[in-house]
Amino acid sequence: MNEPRDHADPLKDPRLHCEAQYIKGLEDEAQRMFALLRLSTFLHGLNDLAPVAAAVLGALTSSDGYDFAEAVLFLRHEERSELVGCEAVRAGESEFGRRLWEMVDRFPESIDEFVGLCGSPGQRARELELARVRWPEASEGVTPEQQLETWERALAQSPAVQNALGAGPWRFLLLRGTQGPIALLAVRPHPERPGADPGAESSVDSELLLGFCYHSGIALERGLLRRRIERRVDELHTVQQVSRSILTATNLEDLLLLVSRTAAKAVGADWASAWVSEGSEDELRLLARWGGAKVDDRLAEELESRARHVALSQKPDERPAIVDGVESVLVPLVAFERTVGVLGVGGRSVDRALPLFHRGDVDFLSLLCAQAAVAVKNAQLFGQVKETERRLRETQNLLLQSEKLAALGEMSAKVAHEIRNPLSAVGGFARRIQRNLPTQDPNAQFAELIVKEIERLEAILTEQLEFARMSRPRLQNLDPNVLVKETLLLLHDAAHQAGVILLEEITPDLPPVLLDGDKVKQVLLNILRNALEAVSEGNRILVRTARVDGDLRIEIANDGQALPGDILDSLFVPFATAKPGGTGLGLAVARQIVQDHGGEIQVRTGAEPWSVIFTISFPIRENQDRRRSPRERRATRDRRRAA
Amino acid sequence: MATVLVVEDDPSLRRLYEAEFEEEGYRVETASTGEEAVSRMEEAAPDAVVLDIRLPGMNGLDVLRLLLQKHPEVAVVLNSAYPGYKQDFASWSADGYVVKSSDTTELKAVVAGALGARRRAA
Repeated sequence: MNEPRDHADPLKDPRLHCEAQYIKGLEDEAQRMFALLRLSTFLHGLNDLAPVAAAVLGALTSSDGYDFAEAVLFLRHEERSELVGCEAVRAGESEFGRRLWEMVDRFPESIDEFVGLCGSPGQRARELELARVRWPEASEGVTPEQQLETWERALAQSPAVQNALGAGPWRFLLLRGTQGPIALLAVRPHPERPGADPGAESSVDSELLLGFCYHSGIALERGLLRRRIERRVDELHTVQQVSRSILTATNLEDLLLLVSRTAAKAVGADWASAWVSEGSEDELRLLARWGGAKVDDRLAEELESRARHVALSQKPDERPAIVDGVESVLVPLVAFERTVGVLGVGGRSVDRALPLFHRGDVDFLSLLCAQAAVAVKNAQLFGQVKETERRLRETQNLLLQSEKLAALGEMSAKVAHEIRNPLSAVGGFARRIQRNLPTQDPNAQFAELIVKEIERLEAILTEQLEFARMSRPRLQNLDPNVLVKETLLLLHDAAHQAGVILLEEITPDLPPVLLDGDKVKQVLLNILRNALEAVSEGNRILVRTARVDGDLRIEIANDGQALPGDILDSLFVPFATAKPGGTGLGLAVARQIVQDHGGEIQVRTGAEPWSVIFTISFPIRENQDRRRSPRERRATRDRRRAA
Repeated sequence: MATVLVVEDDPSLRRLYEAEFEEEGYRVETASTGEEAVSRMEEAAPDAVVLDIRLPGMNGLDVLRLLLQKHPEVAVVLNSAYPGYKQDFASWSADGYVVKSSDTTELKAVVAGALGARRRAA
């Protein structure tokens, strides 16, 4: 505020001259104080951090202001406990530095114009971002001067800060807000100007600079506060936006990927991982991962073990863990008091001495995870509903099949009956005609043709009726081993011709079981024939009998080609045959017969060397009374009595 | 000359059996329902009854039960389109069970066999 001195000395009188000097000095001082007052008012009229910082630095470097060659602002980042380089201005460098005072005069109309001039931070601001040092905690009984000294030392020792500041000498000014120190100003005086030596400064200059620092501190604090609130609002906005999308997501993996990406981006992490709890809470499965950096095995292992801990405690990591320079924070996903998963974010800090994450980040992640947990629970429930629906559909299909099979049986029985009567009559008369015609009669041949064709039709009808299940199992106490041996005997020749080896593994002394011998033989035959057709020369088929708990178990295994799952599933479905010439009924009939016996038949992929294993179980004791329903037993008793 | 009563609801089959058994030298009587067969037992006085099982109204097995009670001396051969009734306990009391076929050889043989057995027993 070296106002141009337009007062020429009116008199040469040394006394008067001295007095005039004194008055001029006072006027000068008053003007500088007035200028500070106006500047302060201007500063307090600015709301945002950037314009306040710009105005402060502008005032420090303008020739009409404090006339420093360069000024750099370090702001205290409270959440990260560090001092971060924020803005820097060299004398004559910025437009607003030159026009600052003109705008200060036009306050408050000039505010918007000034904010517009500030624009975006320049290249140096980005460089300065890297210039950070840990903010030393203020200890009890330390004077502001001592504090300033500590921080000066910290700044002087940081290579990043020294690199950003360049050659000195530098002088440091402490800025305080209402809650304590909030910023540090580094100023470099013009070497040839008086400000270069703080010791030579007048007490008024010192006071004015102190006053300026006081107002700057308050204005900056307000800017910081506003920025923090804005950030908080942004975070809430993100959470709200994300929650809208995550609550509608039904695919668990998509959902967790979305949550991971949002979390990583919001806290500036390099990667994010999401685990879900399966079974117990700490049984975690990694389901989503966002971010490019590869996590090595050691870190992955360490993360998993921490994630399990977080899942059990249902509390986020108190502080980020640092392993090999990689920082990470884990937060549990808790829905309805149960851990449903864990979210982890991590990355490498730019400056190894400084943390990447801070408390605010953990708070934000906790908020996000609370939302995500409910969504995960929803997605899991949705998955369960889908699974149940699938099973229902399957059961429904099965029911439909057995219904179809039953209907088919009834139909063929009816048709067979309706056709058999007239067919027998037609065939019978044809036989009579054939018998009575002289052999040389040309019609004798035709009659014979009719008889043969009707025999063929009758054979088809008989077969149809076999499938029609008109007869219930005719149960007798039978030795299952004998049944198996007799069946294998029937297939001996066919197997020999095909070059297939039939093996038997019989458990001796099995108890007699109530079975319909013919039907059970048919079951074994159907499965064995199927196996014979499925294997190639040199393959083996094994039939094994055993007693397992209360069941008779017959296993038929082969070491032919394994069957894909979908074919295994459809083996018992009627007409779902894959082989040419098959009726598609063989295994369906086998299952029906086994079920009529109160038993079960299953097929699965076997353990080496067996590729396919059919397992048939018949209850040993419980089927004693299964032969007939009580009503039928009564009916039979009545008939016997009547007889 | 033995008499055979054919109980059969299908008219063509009835005609066929009539012809076949007459050719064998039997006297043949026919009935188209179980009720008719029961009511005509005295008048027709058959030595053997060829009995269809599926009949309108009273079925063959019920007729069989009545015959066993009232006419135990008459041989009964069941004749059905279903092989399934063979396994019904009720049918075990009959003298024979033949599944219907255009070839009547088996039926005729079973009837003759049943009559022969009865005669030997008597």
